[in-house]
Order: sequence, then structure tokens, then C-alpha cells
Amino acid sequence: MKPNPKGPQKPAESSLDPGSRRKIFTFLGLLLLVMVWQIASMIAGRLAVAAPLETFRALLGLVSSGEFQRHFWISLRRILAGILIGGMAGFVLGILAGLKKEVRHLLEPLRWTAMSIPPVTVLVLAMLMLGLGSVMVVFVASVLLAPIIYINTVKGMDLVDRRLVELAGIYRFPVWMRIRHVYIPALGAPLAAGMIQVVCSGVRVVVLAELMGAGRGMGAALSDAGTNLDIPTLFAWILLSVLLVAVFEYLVLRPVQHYMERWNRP
Amino acid sequence: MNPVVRLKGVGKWYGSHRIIEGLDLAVEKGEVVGIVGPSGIGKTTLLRLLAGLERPCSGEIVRSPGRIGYVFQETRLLPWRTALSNIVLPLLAAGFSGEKARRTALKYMRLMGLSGFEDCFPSQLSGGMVRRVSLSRAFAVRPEILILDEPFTGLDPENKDSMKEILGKIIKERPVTVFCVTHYPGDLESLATRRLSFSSPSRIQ
Repeated sequence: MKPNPKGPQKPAESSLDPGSRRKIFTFLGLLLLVMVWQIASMIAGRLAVAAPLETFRALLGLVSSGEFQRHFWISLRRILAGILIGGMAGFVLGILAGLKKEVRHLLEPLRWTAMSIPPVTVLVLAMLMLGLGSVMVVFVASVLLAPIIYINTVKGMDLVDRRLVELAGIYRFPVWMRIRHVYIPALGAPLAAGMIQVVCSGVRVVVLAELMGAGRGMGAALSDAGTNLDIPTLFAWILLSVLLVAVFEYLVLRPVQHYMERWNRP
Repeated sequence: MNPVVRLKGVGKWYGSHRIIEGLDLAVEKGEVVGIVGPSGIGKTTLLRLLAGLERPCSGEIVRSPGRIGYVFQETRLLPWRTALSNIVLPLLAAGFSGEKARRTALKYMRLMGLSGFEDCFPSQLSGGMVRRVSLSRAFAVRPEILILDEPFTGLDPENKDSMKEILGKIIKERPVTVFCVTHYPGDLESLATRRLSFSSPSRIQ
């Protein structure tokens, strides 16, 4: 076989920069999802799966009738409160458990319980203890979200560079300075991963809690749509909860993550 | 005069591997101790013992409670803080006011030829510059004990001479006790008042 005079051929390189490639493939993924959704509605029938166009029309109807405003904002407030309370509790306990092994061992049984107990059980117990409404929904969300942030914080604390901890010791950083300047920045990556998980779970948990025990909110509206067999409206609420997660992730979490990791860019 | 650091029969070992054995040493304020010897013989371990980062397996170490400035072999800057902030933070921890800490840090950065790089993160600086930030941080806290672990590694000859000159000035300005590990005895020829030579764990002269 004759050698190629031009040498071995390199694979053709794309002229697109990584950012544009990411956007194109994300758009293609969305398109594929809508196509699968359309096909599913054609196969299963519109009484089981509403078509994308019907869902979009129902969504516009929800906005124009004021139903969206009536249910969406209260759900958003509950989600934010659940994330804030659960996230803060998980974060503070995670920092303490990362600093002191004794605290970690003390909290292990609580973590096992919180992580293995089915969400519905927490929901039923919360309904019995707190009744129906916002307090119950926020309580359930906090209890179920705290362990996610706790685990990510503890994992991050284990990965903190011990050499930097020694450095803080040599220069006698007080505890708050160690937490702020050594631990929290090092926790950026595991916490960002945990936050994305918390936002997704937060929306799911709040919708579930509202579905079972609240008169208002996206979950309650979803329940009403299901009872009335109003499938396009039901799908419109599902679409809204998906969009809410996307907005959180792309407009809040990613920019924060980008800012926190600015030191790692040349 | 009370020594700043006193070691009595200090021994350090990891498992069956003896690093330091029966070391007695008393170092007075203002002394500059050069520590030389081949790699892996225990020089860095001695510095870590002096700084309190390791505990001795035998004997005792008594150290005055003053501030320590430490230049680690691998520089150890906080990667998420700017060069200026890396120098300012230990000063704040030492009780300097925000304004005084900033002024002091800027003074040392200027002295080290780092003006204009205050807002750069360590990943945006060259190896030599990172080393100079680390030296600035150690000098700026006005330490009573300065621990330097191969402080001039990675510096070009010009910068190395300039750093040695600055170190000489700092020592002259106020008495600071220095422990400096170096592979090149010539690095401290003009500064060292005492030399510790490691050849084996039981032979420290």
C-alpha cells in the first residue's frame, strides 16, 4: 500500500465554536422531545396525552383567564421557601458535619431516615400534624430537600484541599474566614450540582404536596384538571413546571455557577 | 535571652520510617537558620514541626506565640482569590484594619514587582509571580518566625537576587527568626547565621 503523500488524514474539524454547538444540540434535543410527544399523543389518543399544540393553546388560555396567576405565584413562593429553608438547613448542618466528625456521626441516622422514608409518608404525616395549606407544603419540601444539600455539602467538605486548610491555620484565620474563604468557594461545584437537583426535586415535591393537600397552587390546579379530564390543561401545568425548572437552571443557577468559577478561567 | 524556638529530643517517624531523631535545638530571636540536605531527608518535616502542623512523636517543641509567615514549597495561594486578596486575608486575620491591610499588601506587591497584577487570579499568573505573591504574603504579616521551604524555586536568577535582597532588608529592619530550607547552600550564604545540615535522621549537624 502506498503511503499517502499528504500524511494521515485528520478528521474534519467543525467550524462552530463549542457554545454554538451546545445551543444547536440543545435545540435539536428539544425538537426531538416535541416530536416524541406528538407521536405519543397520536398513539395514546388525546384523552391520555394532549398534543403539543393543544397544550400550548391551553397554556395561553390559563394566562388569559387569570388561572395561571392564581396558582403559579403561590407555588413559586412555596418552592422558594422550601428551597431556602431546606437548603439552608442542609448547608449549615453539612458544614458542621464536615468540620466535626462527631456531628456527622450524630446526624447519620437522621439522614438515613430522611432519605429512605417515602415522600408520600412525609406528606401524610405533615398533613396530620400541620393540616392543609402552605405551611404543610413548605415543611414537606424543606424536609425532603435538606438531605440533598446536606450530602453535597458534606461531600464537598471532604474534597476541600487540606493544604489550604493548613494555610488558614498557619495564618490564624478565624472560623468565619475559613468557612467563607476556604470552604465555601471549594464547595462551589458540588453545591451547584446539589442545587440543580434541589430545584428539580423542589418543584416536584411542592406540586405533589399541593396536589394532595392544598386548595391553591400548580399541584391543586393539576388535580382539578385531572378530575375534570381536561387533559390539555393538565399538560399545560406539567409544561409550566418543566419551564420553571429550566428558568431556574439557566437564568439563576448557571450564571451563579459561572461567577463562582470565574477564577478557573484563563 | 529566651530562645524563640526550643526543641528538646524531638523525634518524628512514620511507621518504621524514622525521619528525625533526638533533635535538640534552641534558636534566638533574629537568627537565620539555613537548613540544607538532600531530598526526602526530613527538612520539610522539621519545618512542619516548627510551625505546629505536625506533632513530634517524641520530645517537645516550645515556640513563642508570635505570628508565623510560611512560604510553602507549592506556594498554596487560594485559587479563587486575587493576588491582592491572597495577601490581604492573612493581614485581616492578624487584626489589621481593611484599609491598612490593603495598603500593606500593595506595598509588598510593589516591592516584589507585582504592580498591575493585583486583580489577577493565581491561574492567570506565571509560576515565578505566584511564588512572589506567596513571599509577599509571608513577609507582609510582619512575622516573628518566618518559615521558608525552598522559597526561591521557580524564580529566574534576577528575581532570585531581588527576593534575597528584600529578605535581607526585612531581617535588617526588625529581628525576625528565619528557618529556610534550600537545596542550594549559596542561596543563604550572606544571610544565614546558622546552618543545619541533614545527612541522615540521626545525623543533623
